[in-house]
Amino acid sequence: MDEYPGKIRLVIKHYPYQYRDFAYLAAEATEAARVQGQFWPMHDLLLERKNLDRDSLLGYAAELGLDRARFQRELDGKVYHPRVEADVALAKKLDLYQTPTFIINGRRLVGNRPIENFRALIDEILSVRNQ
Amino acid sequence: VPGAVCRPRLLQRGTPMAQRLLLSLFLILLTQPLLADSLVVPIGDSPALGAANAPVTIIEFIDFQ
Repeated sequence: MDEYPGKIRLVIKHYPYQYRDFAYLAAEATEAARVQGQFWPMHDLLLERKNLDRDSLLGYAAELGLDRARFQRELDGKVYHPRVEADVALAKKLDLYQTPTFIINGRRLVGNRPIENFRALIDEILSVRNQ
Repeated sequence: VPGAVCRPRLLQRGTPMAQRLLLSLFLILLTQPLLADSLVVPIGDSPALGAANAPVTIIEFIDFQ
């Protein structure tokens, strides 16, 4: 996004795989962090640290200075499960089957692609708009 | 013949079924990229970074695990 200042909006939708132990828990943890204004820091931590069990998530919440009691209560109470499920339902409706999947102005890029793939598509979209 | 509909030879009666199936398959494959290009994803109140009116919107479906 730094490469294209003002040109890109990044939107996150959850698509946790149901048979992975902590995929849903991690997604719900980002939402619990979000209501405390810390979605992106939590998002970055989860991608960096990889440990996604409950205790690790509680540790990250403390590290980010969140209200730990509230975070724990909401995580254990599965407060944000319906929100995550709504994203999963959308992904299934769109016939997506792999993560990450990127939809860029309606066009699909599946899997961890080289950055050049993104640049090419973004440049193409921007050049069409500038014509 | 007045009123006659002109159809490609492959779609005319008497064309072997296999050829017609092949043509249908070809047409489906031809239009698939167009369909794939038109995914509409409601953003709703999902977490987002960047200006709402940015010309490029990247929607990432993510699994943290």
